[in-house]
Amino acid sequence: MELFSLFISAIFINNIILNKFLGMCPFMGVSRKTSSALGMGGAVTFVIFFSSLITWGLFEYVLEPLNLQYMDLITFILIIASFVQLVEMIIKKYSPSLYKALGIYLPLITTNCAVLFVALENIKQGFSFVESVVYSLAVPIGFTLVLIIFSAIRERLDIADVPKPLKGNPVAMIVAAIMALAFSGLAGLV
Amino acid sequence: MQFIAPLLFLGFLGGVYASAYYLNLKTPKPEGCDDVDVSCGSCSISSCGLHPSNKELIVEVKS
Repeated sequence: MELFSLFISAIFINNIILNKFLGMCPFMGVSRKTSSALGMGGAVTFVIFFSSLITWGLFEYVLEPLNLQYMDLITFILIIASFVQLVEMIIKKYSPSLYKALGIYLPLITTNCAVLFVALENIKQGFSFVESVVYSLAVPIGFTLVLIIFSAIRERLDIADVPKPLKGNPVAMIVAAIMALAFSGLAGLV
Repeated sequence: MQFIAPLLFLGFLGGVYASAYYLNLKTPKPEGCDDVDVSCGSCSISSCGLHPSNKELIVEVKS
């Protein structure tokens, strides 16, 4: 039951974008088309899930026994950067259309603070392996969910009659604020 | 041991990253994606080299 609560709260209540305001760059940049948002969500999910599990293992079995806890940040950054290179290589080879759609945002996953946040949070909260698996899966699912909902709204906004000064990013920011308010209503869910 | 372990570990991680970077660099870009790096125009950080207002500068440097 505790794992289920962790899963639900990471997706809806403590959503990485709308509650913690992390990963705002891809949230604004790759939310113009639902297909790109889906691809970005998939890539971020892959990177967060696998890099978090590896960083958790490295911390528990290498850094802690060797008393190298102070090296956690540089270790996690290098692991995440290596993973992003791997994901870029796979997408480049097997999905040219997705590679074109993601553009500059693909290598920028490295600097996506949401990825580093999950790796650090797993350590800070003292999660066990199973809890880390659940948390590392739930956070990117929440990220992808919000990204897809937001991209669908932005596609509708493109054809809507928006006042000229609010066109583009300003109205998108207003929509994001309303979405954050709506998600905060789920606070008592678990 | 106190000083060697972190250096060895850092060297190992650096090697992992360098290998991943090299493999990615060796993978050819798909057709029509050569200028993907300079197609960004989403955020408002005008000091960024990828910002459209700096595009002329990039072309000048390339030529």
